[in-house]
Amino acid sequence: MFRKLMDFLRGKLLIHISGLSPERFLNLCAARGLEINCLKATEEGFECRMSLRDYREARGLARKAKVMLHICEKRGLPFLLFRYRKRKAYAAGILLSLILLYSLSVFLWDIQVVGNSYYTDDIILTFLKENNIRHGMQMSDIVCDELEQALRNQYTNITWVSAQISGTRLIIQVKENFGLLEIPEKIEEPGDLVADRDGVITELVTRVGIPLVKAGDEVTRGQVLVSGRVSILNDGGEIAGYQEVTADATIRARVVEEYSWERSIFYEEKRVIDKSFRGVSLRIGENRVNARKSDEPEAYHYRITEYWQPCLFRNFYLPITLEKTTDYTYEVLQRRMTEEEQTQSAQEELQEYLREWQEKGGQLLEQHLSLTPGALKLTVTGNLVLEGPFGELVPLGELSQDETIPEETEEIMTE
Amino acid sequence: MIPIPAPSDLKEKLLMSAAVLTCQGQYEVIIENYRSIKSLTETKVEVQTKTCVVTVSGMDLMAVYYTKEAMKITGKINKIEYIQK
Repeated sequence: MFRKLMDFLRGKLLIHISGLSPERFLNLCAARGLEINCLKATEEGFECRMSLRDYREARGLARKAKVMLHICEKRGLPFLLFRYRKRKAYAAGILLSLILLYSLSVFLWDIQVVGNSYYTDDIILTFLKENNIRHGMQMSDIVCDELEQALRNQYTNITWVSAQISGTRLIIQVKENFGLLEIPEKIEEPGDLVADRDGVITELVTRVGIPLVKAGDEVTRGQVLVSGRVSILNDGGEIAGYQEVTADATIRARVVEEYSWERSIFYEEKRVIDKSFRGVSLRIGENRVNARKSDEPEAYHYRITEYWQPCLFRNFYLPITLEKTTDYTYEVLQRRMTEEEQTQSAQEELQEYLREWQEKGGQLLEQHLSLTPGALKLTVTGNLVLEGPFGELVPLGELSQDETIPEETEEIMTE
Repeated sequence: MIPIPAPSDLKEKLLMSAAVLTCQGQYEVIIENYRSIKSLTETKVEVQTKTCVVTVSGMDLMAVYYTKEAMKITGKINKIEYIQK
């Protein structure tokens, strides 16, 4: 490949050698260090390929050996340049294209953002735009270190960022972290864990405090589950004092919740009855060329405008936007839900209700619901048996004088 | 059995300007250490060396390159002869 390229640049000739002693000519060429390729015998002599530079030197040797050299074919850049020497515009075009290629290579033409999921390309590109990093700017004006720092400062969830320039492309690689970004503040205030509703304890693991209930116990709202007041006994087994701690435990319980929900069985449906094309408009930069009426949509009409903006590479949008506007005429229909729709609607609402509970780690054990379709309203009533995290932390109450030592069902555990 | 010359002998032969022929199959031969080309046709190539004339006979013979140091002959080679002066 390299040899072929060099042959093209230097220029290669196919020459025909004829005369009295072509072998002598070949030997003279070899003795002078000239390279002969593809040498083969023909009816009238020899044929070979030779570079332009070697041919110029070989002409003298041909006279010496009394042979005739006839050029059969010319190939390569020197001959092309010679052939097109009078075509100034052609040469100027090539020169101009080279200049253009070089001048365009100093600008930024593409920005790629890699590794982002939460912060979309648009968010990061908008930020770059605010920091004067935009398509078409000079590459030399981009300071990658500053850009990286600015991105890290702006978006705290971006833990690592790398900006690098590759050709005419700016590649921004980011790594996002949405794990534990902030250490939750530890509540230092002493407190008890109490039941936030009625239920049956299914699991109790105490970390700090004295558990007052055990798995299987039925508890009522407000009942202390884990006490934050730890008694200190003296050698005689009497209470010498109390140590106040923040009760901490994993408590799960089964609870029964009343569920009631209702909605109208009628709903409005918009049905498109007519569609009319309003026209197109072209926006170039800040200027707009309208080819449509600029009136507002009438009643029972809505308007959709579709934008089309040509894009080079992945995200280099040219400042030209074509807008196509269409008006839709609709009518509003009052519809009554079918039985299937009513059931589906009730199920969707229940799922939405349970979603928050399930996000906390809870689960639905049983459901006893009845769907009552009325003349105007759909009603769902019943109860749900749920199992999940239980209890809330409340500050310690005042110590009453007749407070007795709580019965220790498990070993006192402290941090 | 023809004795294969030891490397030291080969060096001596080269110093004596003996031609070096490297054949690759039936279709290629590279000749080094020669003096001049005597004749070249499609069927026969005669190369003058310091000690003898090397004749390569065959069909569609062609010198792919021909320089001061070496020449490469391609084509269907039938016979290589060493003709003493």
